[in-house]
Amino acid sequence: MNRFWSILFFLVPLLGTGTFLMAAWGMAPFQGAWLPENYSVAGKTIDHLFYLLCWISALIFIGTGIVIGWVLWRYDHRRQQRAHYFSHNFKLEMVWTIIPAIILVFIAFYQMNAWAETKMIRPTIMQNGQAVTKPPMVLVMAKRFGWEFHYAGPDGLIETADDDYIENELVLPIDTDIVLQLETRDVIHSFFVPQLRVKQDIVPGMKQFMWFRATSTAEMEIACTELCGWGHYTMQGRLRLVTPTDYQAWLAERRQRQTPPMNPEQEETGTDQAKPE
Amino acid sequence: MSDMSTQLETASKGRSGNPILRFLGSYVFSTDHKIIGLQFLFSSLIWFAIGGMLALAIRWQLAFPWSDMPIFGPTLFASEGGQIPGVFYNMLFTMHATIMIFFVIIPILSGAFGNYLIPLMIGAEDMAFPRLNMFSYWFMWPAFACMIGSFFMPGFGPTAGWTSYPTLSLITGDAQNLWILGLIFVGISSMIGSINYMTTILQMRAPGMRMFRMPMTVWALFITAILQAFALPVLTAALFMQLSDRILATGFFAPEAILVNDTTSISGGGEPLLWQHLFWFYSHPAVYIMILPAMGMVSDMLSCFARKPLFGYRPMVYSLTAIAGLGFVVWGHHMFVSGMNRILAISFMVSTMLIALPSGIKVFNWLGTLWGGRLYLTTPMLFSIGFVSMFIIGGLSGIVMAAPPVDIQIHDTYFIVAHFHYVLFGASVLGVMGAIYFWYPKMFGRMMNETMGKIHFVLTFIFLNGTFFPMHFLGARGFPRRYADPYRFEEFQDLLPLNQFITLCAFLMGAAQLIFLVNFFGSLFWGRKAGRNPWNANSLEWSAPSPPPHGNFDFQPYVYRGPYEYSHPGREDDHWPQVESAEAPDSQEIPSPTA
Amino acid sequence: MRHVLLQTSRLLAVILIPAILAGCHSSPEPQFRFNRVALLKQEKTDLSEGETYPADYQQEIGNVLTALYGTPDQPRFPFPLGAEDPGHEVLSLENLERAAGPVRTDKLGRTAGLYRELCSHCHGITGDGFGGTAPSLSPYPRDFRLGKFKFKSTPLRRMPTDEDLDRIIRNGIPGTAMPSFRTLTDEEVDALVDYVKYLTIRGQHERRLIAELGNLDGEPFMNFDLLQENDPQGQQVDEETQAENLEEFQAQMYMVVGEYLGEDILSRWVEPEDEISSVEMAPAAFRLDHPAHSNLILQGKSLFYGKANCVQCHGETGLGDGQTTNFDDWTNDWLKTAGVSYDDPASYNDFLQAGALYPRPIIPRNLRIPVFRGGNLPSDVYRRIANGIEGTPMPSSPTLSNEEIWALVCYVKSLPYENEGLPRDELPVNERVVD
Repeated sequence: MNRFWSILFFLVPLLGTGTFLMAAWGMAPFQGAWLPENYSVAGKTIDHLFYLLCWISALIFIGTGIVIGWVLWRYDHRRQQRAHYFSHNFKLEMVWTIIPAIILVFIAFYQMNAWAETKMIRPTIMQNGQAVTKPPMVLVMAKRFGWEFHYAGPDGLIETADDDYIENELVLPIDTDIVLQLETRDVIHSFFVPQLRVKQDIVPGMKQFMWFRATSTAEMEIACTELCGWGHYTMQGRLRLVTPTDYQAWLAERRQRQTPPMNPEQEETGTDQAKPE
Repeated sequence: MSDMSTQLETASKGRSGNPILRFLGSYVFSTDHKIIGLQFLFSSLIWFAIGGMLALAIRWQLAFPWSDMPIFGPTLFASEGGQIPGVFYNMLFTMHATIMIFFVIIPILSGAFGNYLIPLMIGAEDMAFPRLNMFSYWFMWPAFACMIGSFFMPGFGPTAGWTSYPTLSLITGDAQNLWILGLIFVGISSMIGSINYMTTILQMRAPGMRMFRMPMTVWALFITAILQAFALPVLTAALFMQLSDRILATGFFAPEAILVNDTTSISGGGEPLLWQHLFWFYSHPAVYIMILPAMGMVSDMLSCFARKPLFGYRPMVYSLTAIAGLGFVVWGHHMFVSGMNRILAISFMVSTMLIALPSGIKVFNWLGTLWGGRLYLTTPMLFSIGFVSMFIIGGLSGIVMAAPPVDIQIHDTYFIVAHFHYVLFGASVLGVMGAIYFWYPKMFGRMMNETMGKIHFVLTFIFLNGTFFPMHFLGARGFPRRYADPYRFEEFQDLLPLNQFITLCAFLMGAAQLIFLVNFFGSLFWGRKAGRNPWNANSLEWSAPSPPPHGNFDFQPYVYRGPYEYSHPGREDDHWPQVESAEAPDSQEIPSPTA
Repeated sequence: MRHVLLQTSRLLAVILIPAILAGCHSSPEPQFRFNRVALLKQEKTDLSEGETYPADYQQEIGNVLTALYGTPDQPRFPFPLGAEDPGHEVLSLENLERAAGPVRTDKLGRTAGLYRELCSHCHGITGDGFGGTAPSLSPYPRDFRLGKFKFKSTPLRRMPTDEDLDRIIRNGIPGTAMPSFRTLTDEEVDALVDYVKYLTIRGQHERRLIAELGNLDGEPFMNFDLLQENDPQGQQVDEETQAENLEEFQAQMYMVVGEYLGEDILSRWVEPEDEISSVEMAPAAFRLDHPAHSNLILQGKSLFYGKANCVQCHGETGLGDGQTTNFDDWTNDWLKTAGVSYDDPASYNDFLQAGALYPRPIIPRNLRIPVFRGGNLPSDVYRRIANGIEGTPMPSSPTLSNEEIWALVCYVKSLPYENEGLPRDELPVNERVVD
């Protein structure tokens, strides 16, 4: 019977690591149950960190699992007549204190840059020969239960009278440093796009900023990941990443929609007439 | 029988000849720590069943979204075709978490085992303040009333999540008020308990029971009591602030001019993040309150069934203390993406990495305890090894989450759910189960059935991994927590089969607990009679009769050595009870350990 | 060991089987809720205090509606004229079947039961705006049964077009609990649009039948005895009388089905596109960069406080704190019944018992938040001002000229940014919130 328990406990790290590998390789039945495809520059660092931590964990996991399995196999009371009487081993204890400490300190320092880049150092633009922080392109206004995306008008600034907003649809250019300003109208929400590896809680009364750089065109979904009430699960937005040219074209089209059909006699330029709806 | 224990016995009998009053005095309004411990145990087990049902309802919705939910559907929502509304799902996970944390794990560890074991293990007749001890249990009842009452409020309960973040928690239904009141009462109960434990452990130890001769269980409960005593006031204050925000519109947690749906207004000049800081300042230490006692009990069980001294007793005590101390400065790792100061996140990350170290040392020490032992794989031993094995998984996934950049991806996803269920179910609950099998003969004088125990263990162990392990993958994918219907999102639609597998495992795991139920109640009547020391263990409680009478010991215990003198080379016997004097031969009649 | 296992499994069986039997019986098939509020209102107006209509009527109306419209799980639609019926232009049975019923995957592998999955939590299975979450929402979810829709491109008292409903489903209604369902496919949205129309028509029909109760003099809607060959005394009825009876029965049937449904209800849903109100050309000064733009805003402002009298409800501050004692039509529908006063909750307790939601005054829009429920395009705001908003105190404005409406649109759209840069203590104060 002890053999059974020994194998059972040894199976834990074996199956655990095994299923992790299966999931990472997308094998059945875990297809798709792993990090989604990454579309952002910072996401590469985050994925790298995740894999690194998984590998370190797997080593410790298998190591301790082998010990538990072996101990159950070897030190069964039917084989072992009497336990060895010892209660400490200073050298061994120092080894298993210092080595994990080194690993943990390594992990702690290794990830600091990634955090700083994704959350602390905001992208800059050159203005009058000086680098200044880039102003946000879009104001993301979260509310129960949806997203408003307020695009800056021709003046390039958000929160002015020429803003245009869309419900639940965000269009952004790739290969551009994108800065979003996040605000909420009511309760705490959280802006999460798994494929971009970005997440930020949005707290009432605070302005949050988020930045990333997308690498290729795609369509993805925006989820709210902070409980915001009965319709939390309905807070679904759509994000379209397009090329910068397409983005400009789309923006122009949006602006045209904001202009109602004008009286032709009073029209000065005679251009961009939209049809009545 | 000593004079004091006689006095205690008459006191708890209510000085009355009336049999009903005598029954009430000795079993209901009892000041005896053992009866109080059992009261905590039974009420926690009942809540465990309720919390488990809520968990299965959650799993049902995730596997078969919006279908006719069993039990809840026909009784509450028949007119809607048995379909639950989204807000009911929020109630389910809110109440599942609240019940499991505040009404099951904390009371069963500190309340049940703390009360039952501390006086027995340190050789005291009772707690330092028996009457206060009784109050600590009876303060749970207003909390029970609040929780049960909230089920009957509109919306069938609070819906703001167990973290109850403002400003959402300020605008949800009135059940939230009952929820807050319930937690305040639980807090008072825990506070009274922890004062009692600290005083008892510091003041009431038997002669010769030096601090470093105490079993790990007592050490762990002692440090847990300190944690509770220092962290709880913060939560209580925060809860009162939220209650006054809701009732008096004080606005501690509500910033100005917040409009909900353009109409309801809550105004204040407060700060929602303040609640999060206060809440996690308690609730992170609470995570250790929920695991440290289990760690202590597992240490005792491992050493007993390996017939070997606990490896590194003092480092174990120091790492317990380190976990408790560091536990107060890591709360910010719940808030990496919450909008708090982003530089502060780094210091919380460093302290979190540091706290992994003592946890790791404990694991290595447990393995060291097993190494070279003579293992008896009894049910409590299997649960204890299961505890170690599951704690390793929970600890490792904790390190993954402690890295803030990685946490950006997995925060508030099922990765988190997997992690804390490995720690709280995989570790704490397995530890509690093991402890029940271990101390059951002491509590009721009969053994639990070993075969059923082992079947219960193996089924629980397999299905718990089947339930919680795949959640890691869901989390990596970004599958969010607290979604009544994640499949509205195209990208999560293909995860439905995996969720159905998880639900299947969860239901089977729930069914496996019925074996425990049968074993527990069946053994009360048909279990094999246990002697004083069925497991040949060393610590003091095993020298008392089973079950111990009022006043616990029928002799004056005197402690000669530490609790882990198993297989001492100078002795033929493989154990050496703490009360046995060096000269006297082993006079007690001891049955051989059961396997 | 074996006998222990046996005992265990026996014990388990004893515990498990009742649990399984108790837990696994499913809910009865859901039914449409009867409009008890409308019945109560009818009783209060037609009858003297405390009197009620016989319960048979409720039964009969239920039977008629079930015969015509089926149940939530099995929808039906009466196309009285068969394939030629104008109803086919309004909705298709295939769409109804996809939207109705429990959440499932249909034969083609598509998600079905869409209404139950996405809508019924708030709007209720009957479309009465009384779903599980409804009482906690503000504003309350729409009750379709009145046949009134707020945000549409058609004028007051006209039905919305399919595109209007489609747009509401896709975009949601900002500032309310109605979320956006932008990720649904076109087919799915079509199915839901048809189902919303189906619930509306059914609800309108139900209200018509209830309103007719006073004219029946205790007779049933349809007297099936007229179809009998024998009269109540058992005598054979002669052919002439039989023919008369049949005619009478057909007349009754026409009244119950044809007249109410066809002429009053269904025909209004046919081709509402013909009724779309036009949006006239805007003055060139509407452009933000036009030199006369600020003049247009000023013109709008003077209209706001003057001729158009927006200030009456939207308030001096534009924060929606003007007149806040009105109710919308869905509440007024029963709140204006004889003997009911908003200030005296006891007077309408029976309505709340019957399933009415607790009455809340309608709050005029806060115009200083750049959120427009009916859409934020200039043409949307134009229609809101020109056409008014159905079911609310917001009137249409036939007296305003095209340019005046555009000036108002211009002013309203500039309001959220009007005080930009002002110090906090000079910002307008919402008196409603302060109170």
